[in-house]
Amino acid sequence: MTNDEIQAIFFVECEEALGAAETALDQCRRGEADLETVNAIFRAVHSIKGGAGAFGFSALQAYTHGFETLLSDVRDGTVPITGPLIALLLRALDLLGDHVEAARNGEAGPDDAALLAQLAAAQAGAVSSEAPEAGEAAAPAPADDFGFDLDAMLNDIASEMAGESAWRITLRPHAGAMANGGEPLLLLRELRALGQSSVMLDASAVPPLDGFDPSEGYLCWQVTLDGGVARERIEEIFDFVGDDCSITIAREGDEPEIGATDHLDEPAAPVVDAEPDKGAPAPLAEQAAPLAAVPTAAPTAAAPAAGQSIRIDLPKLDRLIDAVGELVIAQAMLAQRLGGKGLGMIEELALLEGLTRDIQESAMAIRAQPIGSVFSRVPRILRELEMSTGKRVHLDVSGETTELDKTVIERLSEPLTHLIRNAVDHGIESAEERLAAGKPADGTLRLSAEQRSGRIVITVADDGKGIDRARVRAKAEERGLIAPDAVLSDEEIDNLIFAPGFSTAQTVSSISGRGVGMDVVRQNVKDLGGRIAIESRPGQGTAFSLALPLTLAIADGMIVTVGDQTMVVPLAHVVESLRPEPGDVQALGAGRAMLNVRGRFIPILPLERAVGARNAVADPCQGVLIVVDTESAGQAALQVDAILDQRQFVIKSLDTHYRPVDGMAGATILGDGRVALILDVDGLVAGVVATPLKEAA
Amino acid sequence: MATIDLPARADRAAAETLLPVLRDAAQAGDVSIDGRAVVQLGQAMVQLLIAARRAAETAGHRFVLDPSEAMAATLAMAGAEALLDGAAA
Repeated sequence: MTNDEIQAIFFVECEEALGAAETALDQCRRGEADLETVNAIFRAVHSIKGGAGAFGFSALQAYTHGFETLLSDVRDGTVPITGPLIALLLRALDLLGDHVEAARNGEAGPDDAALLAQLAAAQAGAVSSEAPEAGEAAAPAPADDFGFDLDAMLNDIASEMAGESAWRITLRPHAGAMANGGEPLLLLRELRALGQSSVMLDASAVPPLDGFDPSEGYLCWQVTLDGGVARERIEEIFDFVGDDCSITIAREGDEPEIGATDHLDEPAAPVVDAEPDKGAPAPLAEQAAPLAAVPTAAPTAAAPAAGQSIRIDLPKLDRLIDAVGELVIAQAMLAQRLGGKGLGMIEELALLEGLTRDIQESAMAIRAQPIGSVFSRVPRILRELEMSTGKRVHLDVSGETTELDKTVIERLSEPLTHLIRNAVDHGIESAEERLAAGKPADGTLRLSAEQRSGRIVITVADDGKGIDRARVRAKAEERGLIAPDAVLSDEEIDNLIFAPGFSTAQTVSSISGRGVGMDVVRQNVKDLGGRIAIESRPGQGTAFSLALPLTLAIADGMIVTVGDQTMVVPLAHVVESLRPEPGDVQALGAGRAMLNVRGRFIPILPLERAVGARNAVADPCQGVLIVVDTESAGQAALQVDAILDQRQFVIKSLDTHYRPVDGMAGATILGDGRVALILDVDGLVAGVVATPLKEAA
Repeated sequence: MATIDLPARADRAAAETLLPVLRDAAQAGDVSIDGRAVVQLGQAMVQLLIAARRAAETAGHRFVLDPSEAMAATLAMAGAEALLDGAAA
């Protein structure tokens, strides 16, 4: 692995650490913090500091050090957690994010002197506040809603943990652990940072200088660690260590694991006897004579720490997904070939099909990530918005463990950010307006994610004033988006805000941009194969819901024929399919027709012309109409000859394999090996049918 | 008394450089290590200093280590504070 690659991993870990700290601080803010929460923040900052030191990001390292020093005191309970302290920590965290960004871009770090001074002051202030007479110099009084008694909590936890005996961890790094810039002392430091710990150094294996090899590992540590620490947390530290260290983890009093510990415990034993209570290191002089029985090279057979996760290069994973896609296609082709020979029902084929589906699901699951990684950035956005708009917004998050494809998650953050900014800027009223309307002064933003019938639905809801339909309408008329006498439903008016170039902000604000946002948001969501919907109630708020596919690589679709062409209609758009009675179809002239669906007329779109097919069925009543829902043009009925099948298909991008084609979202390979185009239902309908809004005018 | 300066980064590379110097110094007489510049201290250096101290004491010489704050903290973290006892000895 090159240094750049390791550095890239460091930045990924920084992002994760920042997210974890954000989540933990949010828990503190809500008064739900426990010792573990504070520890999580400390760990996050600490791990960034460690990496910053290793890669020589000195500004980042110096800043994290200042931050960590305060956190360490908070963790130890010497600095009480108060509302103002949490506010300070949040600011410090934001600046840490800026520092990481600067380090990533190779820029000079942001100016942190003022904040570092505040961090130091908070540390000192809290210490002086221990003396009751310290008065003004003390840290601001704890806000009731945020304050909690850390000591009491610690005691609770301590008593809870009383039953758990302490961990005893032996760590013996080999030569490999120190190669390539590896540093076992960092592992030790991390280990000790997990909780109350003491360490015993066994230096008995250190040879005389004549036989000394600086690249060898001669030291062995025995760490006694607070029994309340979860085993996974300890194992996590050694995730990347592999065979470079001999590690044993056991509860005190438990039988040590076989093998490695036999060697490790014996040399340590006399040291333990020398100072049994404090666990202090024995004077080196006593260890001067190496025990003859001790093998110099530590055993390599020691059980390596069980890894909880591994990191994989994304391109590698994408290759796997690609191969799985090919496998799905090959399996379909085999099934079709065998079916043609009357062997379609053989058991082996069913077995292969089941396995293929399992592999496909597992491969997709590897790419799936909890959406919490996007949600965890939201508090910062809200803090920035609070600074610029003065609107205080309470965040209510649910479903953050819902998993989505990594690519979807990455590309989701931009539209989501925009929706949130929009909700605060336009949706939520100022505190005075809210109070006048009988609402709490602080707005509430609800962010939720849930899986619903094969799709993920993400909702961004505010409790603001709702969409001002009169103004939206007036603006749309002014912009020529609709005719003045157009009859529009509330829903249609709401959807006008997605029209390109639409903005209702009375003053162009720096937050929501220049009104180019919402159409871009819709485009972003559409590019992900998703849909966006609005639900707005005047005076009560607006909710945007984004329905997104679980993955971008595979989708459900209807295989249809149009004349000599076979096409795929993504199932996400399909509302229903039907063969109309002659009375249901209303001809409009010029080859146009409308379909009467239970009293509602929607345009019929014969696909023959749109996709360039020949010899398609001309009479809608002889073909099949597929009613589809589109983002921009409402519902339409696609006219096809027949529906052949409905199944999953692997999406191949036309952009990468060929070139972009209007009206086509991609291509797939059918079971018989032929290529079928996937319809871009939105684009196609919008292109052929003029927007219904104008038509209604 | 030989005074040996430790670099800011007292890592494996530094230990390799220092090994022959310490080997000679520990034989020659009292050894004084100036670690006041140390920012980073690695395992390789810790074990080298332990070996050097033993070598010096076996030869009947004194071994004194003057650490930086960072170095003292790391030694304490790693349970190797005993390296600092030399000052009193």
